Amino acid sequence: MTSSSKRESRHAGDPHMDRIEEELRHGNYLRGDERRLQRIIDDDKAEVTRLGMDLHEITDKMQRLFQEGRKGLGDPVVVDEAYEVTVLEYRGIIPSPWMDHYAAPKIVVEASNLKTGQKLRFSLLSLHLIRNYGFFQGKGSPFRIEPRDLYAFFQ
Amino acid sequence: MEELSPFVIFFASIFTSNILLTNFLGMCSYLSVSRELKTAWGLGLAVIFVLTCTSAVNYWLYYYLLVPQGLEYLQYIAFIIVIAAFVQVVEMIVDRVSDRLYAALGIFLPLITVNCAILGGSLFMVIRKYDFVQSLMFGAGSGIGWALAIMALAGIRRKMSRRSAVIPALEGPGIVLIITGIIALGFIGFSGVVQIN
Amino acid sequence: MTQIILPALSIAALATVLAVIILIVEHYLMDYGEVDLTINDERKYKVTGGSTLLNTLKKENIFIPSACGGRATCAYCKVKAVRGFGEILPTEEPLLTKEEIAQGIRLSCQLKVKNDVAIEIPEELFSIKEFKGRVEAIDDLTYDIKLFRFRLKTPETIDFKAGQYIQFQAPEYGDIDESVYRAYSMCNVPSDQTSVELMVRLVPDGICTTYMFNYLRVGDEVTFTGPFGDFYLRDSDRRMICIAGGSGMAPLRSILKSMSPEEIAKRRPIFFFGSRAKRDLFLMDEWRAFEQEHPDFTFIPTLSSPAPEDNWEGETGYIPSIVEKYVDNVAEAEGYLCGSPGMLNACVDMLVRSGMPEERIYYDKFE
Repeated sequence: MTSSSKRESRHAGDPHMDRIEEELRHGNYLRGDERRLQRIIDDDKAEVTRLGMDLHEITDKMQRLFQEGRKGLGDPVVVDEAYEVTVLEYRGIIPSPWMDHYAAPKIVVEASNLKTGQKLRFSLLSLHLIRNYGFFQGKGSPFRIEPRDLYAFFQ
Repeated sequence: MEELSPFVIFFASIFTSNILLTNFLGMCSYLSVSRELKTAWGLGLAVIFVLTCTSAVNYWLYYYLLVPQGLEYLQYIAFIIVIAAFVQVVEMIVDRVSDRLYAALGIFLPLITVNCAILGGSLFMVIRKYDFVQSLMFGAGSGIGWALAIMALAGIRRKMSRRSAVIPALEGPGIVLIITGIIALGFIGFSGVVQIN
Repeated sequence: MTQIILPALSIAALATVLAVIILIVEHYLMDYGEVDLTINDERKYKVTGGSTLLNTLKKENIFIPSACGGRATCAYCKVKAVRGFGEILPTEEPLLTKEEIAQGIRLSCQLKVKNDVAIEIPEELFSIKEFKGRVEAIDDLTYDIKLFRFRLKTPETIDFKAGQYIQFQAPEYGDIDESVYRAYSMCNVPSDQTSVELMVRLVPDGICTTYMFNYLRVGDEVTFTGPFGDFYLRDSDRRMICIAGGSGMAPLRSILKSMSPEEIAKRRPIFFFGSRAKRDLFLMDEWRAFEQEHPDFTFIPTLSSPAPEDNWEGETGYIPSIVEKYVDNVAEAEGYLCGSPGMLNACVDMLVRSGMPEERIYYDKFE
């Protein structure tokens, strides 16, 4: 039997989620985080609920930062007089590790809240994963966003 | 036990003595693979097949090899080796015969080796002193019963995910265990019909 | 004594018998023998059955682009299955559109070669090879763009069209436990057959670029496959409007530098190169020299937000707003674009608005 099937049988989890988890570990989305994928999602969901965040509203705001910021073609743009946004675009695409037929363009959004000075950095792929699956990435992943930081950023 | 008709055992093991809902065997994959109907169906099919076949193989192994040698106490280890080997062989056959079934079942088959319902099926067969036909019917019935239970749960979970007002603390396994309890209560309703344990 | 030995022997015997059964089954079931693989109706190969189509082709030195390593996530490795493969697999379904399924397009990493099969792949894939080379030079072009020069070892030469790209393989390193492939355009001229030059911009926390910037040293061995892509010079008499930003200069450098003096006189290329500030500009002397050499070539570096200390006297603003200032009849020209998707979209919009038909605008989307 292959090593992958051994891993699946050891945990005896949902095979679909297991495969996604394996993809995520391969792709470094869970770097340094030993928790199971479902656990990470559940923990973050609990945090989101505790903060009273509306994930749809927040991700819509992130999407808006990206769309407005993109007009700068790489230069900083001030959005809603409250955020300074720089959208960095790179060539190429990243296939979503969730096996959902989505490929994100390589785009990184760097935003700062002009009032508080708080900074937020996210890629289009991380926006996709948060919006659709509530996945904020593993604790050590370079694109991990803490729900409470995200919440504070838009306050 | 000898007088029980194989068909009575077959139906009883699906409804009144459902291996999952009355004996709570095979819970781990039941809890984790019941998010989607399609995957639950795939796993259910695989369990039916493996449970039926391993009952037959283990029956033969137990009565023709272990009992004559006086090695009944080795049944656990012998049964589990047979199940593991059987799953491997099945995996290869499916791979050869149907790509589509292999891709659909491929990831479920290794999971089955550790499904306690399979081992439980073989052990009950010994404890209840079934003959060969009875064992076969018991295996098939238990498999179908297990598949039925996981499909029922998957259906409920799908409905629930659309419009759920589950309190956060009970989300996930919590509410699933409560639902399982209620399904089990429902199955008790069948118990007046026929009883095999 | 028998009490100990008998059970041990029984279990051992049982395990042995089962292992033998598994081996026998494996021998008969998993051995598919030699099968015929037919590609595009004319090329025939004898291959050993049993492995995936992607790997079987790789063994025959045919490289289908693939980024995920056969785990059915990237959907790059599409081929047209003509016969010999069964129904569409559940692992493929989510990655193929309805039209593709109707045409028989499949993922070669999911298909197993079990009997005689026939497939169709684009003819140019036959010229794709796997190359091994050695890093000859790594130069800083700007603070976040580097030029990598690889000398080829095996095979010793590469045939490519100016403007094409290769897939660079970043091996496992540091925390990364998987090798990945990323596409980079070659920026040297095709007549320079023994080496490959790439311009790479650092992607923050990018797996491949981090490797290339922080781990790769002069003298190291590198692996890549190629050439890929249909971004190259089209034969015509039309004026060339070239637009690039950042590392997008690479394919245009290759295209422009490989043109003959007569061709340059005929096509009168104009090259708009967009950057943010002066620190993002590079190879300016080289382009100025090229301009001196070819009076019909024009180079227009443009800064979108020059820093005060830059003392910039050239063009400022975004390229879409200045193209018409330099080119009289945009509609009659041909566009060659390379850069970030946002810039590409803005430039394509502008060119189309000026009357250039979309089929005359060429760019590499890397998809």
